[in-house]
Amino acid sequence: MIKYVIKRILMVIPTMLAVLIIIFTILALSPGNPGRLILGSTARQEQVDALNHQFGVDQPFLTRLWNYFRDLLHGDFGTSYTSQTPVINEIKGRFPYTLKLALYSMGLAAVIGIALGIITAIRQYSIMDNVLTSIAMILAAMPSFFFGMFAIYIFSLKLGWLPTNSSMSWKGWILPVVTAALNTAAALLRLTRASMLETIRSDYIRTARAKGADERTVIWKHALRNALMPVITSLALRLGGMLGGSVVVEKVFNFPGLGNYTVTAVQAKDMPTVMSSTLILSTLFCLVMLLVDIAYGFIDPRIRARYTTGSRQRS
Amino acid sequence: MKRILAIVLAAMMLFAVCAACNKDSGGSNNGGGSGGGTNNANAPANLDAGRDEVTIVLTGAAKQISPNYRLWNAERITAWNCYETLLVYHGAEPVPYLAESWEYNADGTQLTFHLRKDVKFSDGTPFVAEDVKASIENNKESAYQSNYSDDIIDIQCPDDHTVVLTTGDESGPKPNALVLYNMTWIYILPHEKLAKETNEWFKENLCGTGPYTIKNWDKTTGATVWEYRDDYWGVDYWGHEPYIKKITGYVYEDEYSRSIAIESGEVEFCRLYGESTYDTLVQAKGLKIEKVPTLVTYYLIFNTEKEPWNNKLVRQAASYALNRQMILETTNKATGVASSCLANSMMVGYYNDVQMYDYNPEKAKELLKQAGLQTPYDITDGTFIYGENELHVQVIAQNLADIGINIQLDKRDTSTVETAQFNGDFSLSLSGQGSYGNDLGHLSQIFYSDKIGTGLNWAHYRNSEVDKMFLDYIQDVSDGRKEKAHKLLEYIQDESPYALLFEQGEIFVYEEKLHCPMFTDGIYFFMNWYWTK
Repeated sequence: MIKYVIKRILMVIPTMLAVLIIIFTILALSPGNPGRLILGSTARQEQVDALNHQFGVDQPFLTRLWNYFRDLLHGDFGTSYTSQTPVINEIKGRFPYTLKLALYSMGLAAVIGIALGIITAIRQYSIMDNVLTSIAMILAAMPSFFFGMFAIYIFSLKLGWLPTNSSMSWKGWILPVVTAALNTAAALLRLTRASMLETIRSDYIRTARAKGADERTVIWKHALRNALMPVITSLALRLGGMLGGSVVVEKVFNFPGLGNYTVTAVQAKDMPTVMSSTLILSTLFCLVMLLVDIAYGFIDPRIRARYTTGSRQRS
Repeated sequence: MKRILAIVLAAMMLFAVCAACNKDSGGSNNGGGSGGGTNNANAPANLDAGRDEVTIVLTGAAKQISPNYRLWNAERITAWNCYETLLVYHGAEPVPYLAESWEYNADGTQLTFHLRKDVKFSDGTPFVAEDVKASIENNKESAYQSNYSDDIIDIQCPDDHTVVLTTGDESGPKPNALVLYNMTWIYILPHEKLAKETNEWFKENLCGTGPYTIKNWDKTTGATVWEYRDDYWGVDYWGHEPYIKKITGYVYEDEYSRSIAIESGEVEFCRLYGESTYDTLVQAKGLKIEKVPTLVTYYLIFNTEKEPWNNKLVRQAASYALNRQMILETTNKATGVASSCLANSMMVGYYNDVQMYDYNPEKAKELLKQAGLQTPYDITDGTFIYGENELHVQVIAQNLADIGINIQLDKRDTSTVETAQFNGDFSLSLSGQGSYGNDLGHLSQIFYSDKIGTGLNWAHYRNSEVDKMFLDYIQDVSDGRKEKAHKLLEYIQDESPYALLFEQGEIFVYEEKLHCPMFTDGIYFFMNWYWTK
């Protein structure tokens, strides 16, 4: 198992390297003049050239690539072209917001989605099942920006209950968290329901019932654990994506997260910021996937057994 | 089932309690407050003394607060209200600020400022002439602001409250009337701090002479709180103590969220930066919408080195052919003002009795005949290059086609458009919407022959007579420059290497009970603001 974990961790490095080189090349080759973008069209050419020289964009591609990796290895993520502040400071300031948004929204989505998914599976074909699955279908199809703007219109503009800006107070977090959670909750509800339905029809569940186990034990102890495997994968994938910054939600709610920051940097051709954000995003995604794989090993004894020392058991 | 129902009901009740706590519009005081304005003998009759806080929109987070760096929205607000300059311009006339008065020497090469004696920085140090010298020298080092101090070649401080600036260039002292305006953009920093600290210190710390200081600044969310400083020197200068003592700014990056915030009462003052929500806000109750003129202009650029634009009559014809109102209707209906005068109407040196190019396609055709241009004429030497503003380009191309001039449109990345403009690889192009300064002399940047390929003379317009007229005008610091301005404007209007399309204004939306005067370019000072009853 340890060998498996180490192998997976080591695989992250070449993945990251490839991603960085590709992104750097694309950005370096795309037309752009950060000096002019920052100073504006009325700035003198000498000022623009001086700023471009300061940023190092007038150097050859390979020199720039080498300098970038050299600085990265020393912990220098570069200075943002637009804000002229170290990129790592910006990321450090914004990442907690993205992390909190991701955790709160995924937590909320998991609670709502899994709980309701179990209920609808147990109460298949009931009115509650039909209503909840219909709502889930609508929410899954609805783009999050639409729900976000609709929520702002109702709860902020018309009712005045909640602010749109998260920096005003804790109430400013409610709408972004709910908006980010709903789409995932709907997907989790449907996935949990399908997975539970498949699981509770298994032979071992019938055996458990035949042996006299009460329904609560059958569902929570026997069925749920197996039914949750695909749900965990889905949740982890979405969490990984959210950690990269839910751009749409962040843009709609002026949320000071990493996604918003990265998109703004791309538009401004702020190369150090884009590179650093990509690095962070890729690393996080790989780590999340790694954690999911490790979690699988603990949840599913078949996977764990496959990797126990000295033996490779066939299922 | 019953348990689930109970949980759902409990959640709904909890939500209702939270939502009912208050309809908090984020930081503003709704009638209460920290005590309102103090004894103010000159207070307006309708002043609501019970309200002394305002919540405003910021369009982006301030990343630094030095006035010598890039100044975008939040940074500009800090610069205007926490730092001060020697003078300000309210319209076309300069108004003393940290300088009480100024005068030129006999040949106009030296500008002497007499400084106020009662001014202190926020750290308590007194304001002296050395501060002005150090601030100008610091400005010269700035990649973002140094064009304001380029023409100052020497600074002397004969005493603590006198500064003598010598203007000129590398060849020596020369008079320069634009330096006076440029001083409105050089914010005064304390010389002791400039000597002791690096520029990085000023990016993070504030030490100005202005009435407000930053109480709280969240660099990530951009939320900023400005508060009045009780030791401010300028109560007599403004004629009153401040009515607004605390201003809280929250960042709203896009126009939609800004309009929701102002309409819902979450904020009380907003610079709109866009027009898509204008029609909705006009109908909103309790709000006032104000359009403020700016110095921003927007030109069509003729490449005067290529046919047919090397012919003045053809350029004039094209200018008459442009339906500027239709161009405005596409994207700038609320904020733009159609104009064909190369000088912005807010500029010193603007005159409205010069030749203008009102929409007149028949006159345009007549001029083309006079120029000997056979229509239909297909432009083969170059294209109409552009990066943004596709709608404007389409209207312009259609207007030209209506008088028989056809040109191929060529959309490119913005940076390649600029490169092509510098190199002259185009026939027509559009300038960015920008401000060149408040004086006709600032337009020399787009006219000087030596700016072709290296500066802003995008039209590649070469005319030694215009170079001489601009230089003569800029170097005249006497009242006689007004006549020179008139002649110069007449000349360049006739020559028309650019066609002005419109002047860009700014839209502000605020609660109707807030009195918040704004000056050209949307500059505002919180000292002027107050709530009315």
